[in-house]
Amino acid sequence: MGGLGNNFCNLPSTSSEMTCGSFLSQQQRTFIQMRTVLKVVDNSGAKKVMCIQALKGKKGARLGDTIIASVKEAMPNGKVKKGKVVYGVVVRAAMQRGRCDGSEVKFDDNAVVLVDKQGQPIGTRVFGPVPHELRQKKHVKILTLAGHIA
Amino acid sequence: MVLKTELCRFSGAKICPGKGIGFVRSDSQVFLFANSKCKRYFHNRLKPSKLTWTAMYRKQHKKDIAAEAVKKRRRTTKKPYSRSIVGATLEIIQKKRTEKPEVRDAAREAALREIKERIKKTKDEKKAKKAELLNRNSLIPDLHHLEYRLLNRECADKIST
Repeated sequence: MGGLGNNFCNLPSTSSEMTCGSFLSQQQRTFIQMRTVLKVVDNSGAKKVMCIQALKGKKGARLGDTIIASVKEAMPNGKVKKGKVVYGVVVRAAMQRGRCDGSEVKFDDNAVVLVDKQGQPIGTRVFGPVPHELRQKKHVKILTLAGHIA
Repeated sequence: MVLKTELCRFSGAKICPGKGIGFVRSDSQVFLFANSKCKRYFHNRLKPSKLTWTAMYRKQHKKDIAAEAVKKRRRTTKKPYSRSIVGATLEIIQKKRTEKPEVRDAAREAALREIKERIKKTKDEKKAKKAELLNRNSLIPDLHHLEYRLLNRECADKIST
């Protein structure tokens, strides 16, 4: 089913804002920058946040970096409400990140865990896989809450 | 410290440390690809079992399996386990096991012979007894006849009265 005849759809596009969900697309994944919408994978109450600013990094945030985000979509009764400005740690990024042994990892989506200014997570549970890189960035608390460490 | 060489999830090739691309799916499943060719095919949803050069295809179409099968058969030989049971202690079991076949045959034959002799003896005894009885009867043949006549007379008396 993957070998359909319309191969012209397979041209690599370098735009990071392309939200095309077609399975034939091979996007060039890039950094998490302003206006990137990320999924929230903890139980702090928010569902989707939009990145306002990537702390550290001229081009944008990568896996394991902290960002400032604004909550776009939230659960009705949660600790965080819509419109609030929060900090977050990127735990899953579609852009590949080089590991120290030379290999690269990439995830399926962009996801974030909300933290406070000191770096402690606001929620009490983390869903889905998280990478090893968080240990180096001293986000040990998130690692302990995580269900699966990739 | 040697890093482990992984196997490519798509093609089955070995991934040396420092090479390859890892992909973590949202359901926490980790896929390792040897190169971008495998990765590309995986994302394009091609099946490795349909591509001739992958390990999965070769396994499915049973290429090169004859050599492996021959090797594997050698390992399944059970060792005889020696333990004493209620009926026979370990020494008796071992003695029986180490008995040579000739000894066993000789013992069997001896047992059979014994049985045969016993049967013969009983048969002979029976014959002898029978012969004795016949002899006794033949010596006094009239006794039998006399008894018969006595019986008849008794019956006649009874009928007449």
